Amino acid sequence: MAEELRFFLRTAAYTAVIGILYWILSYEWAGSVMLAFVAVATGLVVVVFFLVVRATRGPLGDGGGGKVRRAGLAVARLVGFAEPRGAAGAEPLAAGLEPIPVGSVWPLLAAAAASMIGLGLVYGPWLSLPGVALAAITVWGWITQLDARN
Amino acid sequence: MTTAELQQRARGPVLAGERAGIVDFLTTTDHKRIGLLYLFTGLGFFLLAGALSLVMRAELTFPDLQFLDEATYNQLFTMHGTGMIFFFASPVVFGLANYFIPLQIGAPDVAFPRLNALTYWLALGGGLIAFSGFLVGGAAAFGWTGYVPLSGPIFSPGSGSNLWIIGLVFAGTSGILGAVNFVATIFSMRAPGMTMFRMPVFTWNMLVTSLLIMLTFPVLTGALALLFIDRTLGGHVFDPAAGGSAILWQHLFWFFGHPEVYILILPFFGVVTEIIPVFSGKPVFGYRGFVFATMLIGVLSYSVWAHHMFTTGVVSNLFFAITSMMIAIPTGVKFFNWIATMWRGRLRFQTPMLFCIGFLLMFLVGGLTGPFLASPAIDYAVHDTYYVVAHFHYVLFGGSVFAAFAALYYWLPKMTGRMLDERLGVAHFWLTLVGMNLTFFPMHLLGLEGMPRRIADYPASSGWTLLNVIISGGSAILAVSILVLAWNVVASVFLGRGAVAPDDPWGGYSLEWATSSPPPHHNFTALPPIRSERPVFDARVAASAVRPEAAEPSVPTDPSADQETDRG
Ligand code: HEM
Ligand SMILES: [Cu+2]
Repeated sequence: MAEELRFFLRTAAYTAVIGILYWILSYEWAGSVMLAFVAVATGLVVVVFFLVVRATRGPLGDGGGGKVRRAGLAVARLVGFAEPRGAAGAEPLAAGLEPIPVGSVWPLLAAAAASMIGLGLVYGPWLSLPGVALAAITVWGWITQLDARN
Repeated sequence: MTTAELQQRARGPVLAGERAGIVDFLTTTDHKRIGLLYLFTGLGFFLLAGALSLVMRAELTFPDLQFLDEATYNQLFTMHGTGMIFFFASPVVFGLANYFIPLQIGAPDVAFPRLNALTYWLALGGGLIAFSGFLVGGAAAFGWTGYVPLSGPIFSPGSGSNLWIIGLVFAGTSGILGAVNFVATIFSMRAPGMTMFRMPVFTWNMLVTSLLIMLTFPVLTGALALLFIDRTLGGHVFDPAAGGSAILWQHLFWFFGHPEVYILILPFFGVVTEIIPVFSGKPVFGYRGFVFATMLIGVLSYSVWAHHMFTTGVVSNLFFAITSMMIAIPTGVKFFNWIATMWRGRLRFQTPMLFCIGFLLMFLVGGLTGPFLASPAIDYAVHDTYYVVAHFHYVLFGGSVFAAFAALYYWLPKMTGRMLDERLGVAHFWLTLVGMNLTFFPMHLLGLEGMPRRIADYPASSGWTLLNVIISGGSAILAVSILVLAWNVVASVFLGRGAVAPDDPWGGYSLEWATSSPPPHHNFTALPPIRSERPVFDARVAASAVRPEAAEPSVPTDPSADQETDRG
């Protein structure tokens, strides 16, 4: 199992355990829900990585030795003290990345639109409505920019 | 680099490669320029928030009110705290991460360059929006923690408070987007051979920091949205009179707020872990130990939030005292590893190293008052006093700011192609060290004597005057120290008076030193083979084996010093 996956797994495991403990000790809602949120969110990342990105999978043990040794090694690899076997974790995860653009005005305009919408919430719709219009233009420019160059 | 090229570069100020005009910066998607924008924005807000603190100190020097009223003072400490946390420290973290994560893992840029630019502009917009409250009849005045009901519609009706909320939502959104970008970059853009356990510790710490951001900033952003609804649309989420809960705000805020303090220190632990080995001429002691200590701090920080709420009487003080004290263990591991790294090393006391040693000492003071505050019995006595103010300034100033200065002296040559002046750097260090201790140490004593935080005056009969005079004097020294730094940066970089920086001025270990200073647009023309967590060091040793004169004298070549290079 690749380090990228174990990285999230550790947080999921810790927050799941501590969340249960916290609930039993305090019966306090807000914190229990937030700990559960963290456990579920990171757990979902693990599941999705495991299902979608093949490079994160890989055997935990190496098949050799007795049961106890194999189990110990599997735990060590899960926690991260031993390297995963094979390529898992050694190579970066292949992902479809966008080409690196030379430059772009759209991020600046997107933030300007967001500022107009945000300030409009304070000062009134005369500011947020133009902001929404600018946001629409920006989204269009953003998603078509790289196509146009290629 | 040939002499002719050096001479050509020596002529004018150099910033981020080719000369860039304002339009280039406004439309840039280059992680290096975005990094610089973040850094200088952060420093700008540092000056602004620092100026606010000087005004506060001027008022507090002597008893009674001199030139401020309480309402103004409230705005000052609120915007000082907000500015320092959200618009100075966070942008500096993001600036360093932006610049150096891709370089350290051998990538040409971050995974989503345009998203990266957006995160910067959102952060800048958020800062301007939050501070614009000063221009429209008063900024937020309820402390950086925004506790309800004080921050609710009844006690804080002004639009400055709404602007504070919007500004923080921007900062939070920007942080989430940036964190996603860093994780994607680290997971999918590492150079061949750069396994996870060969990544520099700074990059590792930024990975853990990014996860903290991704999981806790949404909580803050959500809480702020609810507060905004309560304030403007008649919501009652935090209004106990209508069945809401005021304590809920504190839970939500601190579920974000405590991890936030780790978001502001873990990257700087990383910085220090980069610098100390290089200036000790040794590999870092216990590389894996560092990485796992970081991860342990990361996960533990999710379960300590209510140590800020001991005195409310409605949280499990035992649970939070135990979990909080546990964080001292991985932090202690780091301290021992730093000391072991320096042990019997060939120490070079240049400015970056001086600030790292200052960091170790000052953060230790702040770190030691932490377990005291984490004991509910003690916290009941000193909660909301200057003892707390002393504690968090030792960790934030003595920790984050010292390490940020170390990073500046260490990495600015790489970023700008100019060395900073060493003599001014040493002067800056000593002024900062003396000023910081004079400013923040007496606050411990004031706190123990019972002086509350967030007050604009105190009676002469309290006997607190002398300590307050010392504190204000110390903050004046800090102000001078910042001027020294500012002059150093302006003169060396912008006026081009600094010596031209070679590719690797310090004898560094990680990949950013394998490219030019500043790096070209796509970062690398060639990468050395990556077989350990110190590829540049390995390449230097390999080169010196072929041509002994290629090894720099400052770098140890005795075999005992690089035993550890084959790990990973
Ligand atoms: C430049 C030197 C600094 C000085 C002279 C200074 C001074 C002060 C003073 C006088 C207060 C108000 C205390 C009170 O009335 O309760 C304060 C609060 C605060 N400071 Fe600083 N400070 C400095 C740097 C920093 C830095 C670098 C950070 C964080 C990175 C920081 C974060 C805070 C926070 C979070 C608060 C609490 C605000 C609140 O009560 O809501 N300060 N500081
Ligand atoms: Cu805390």
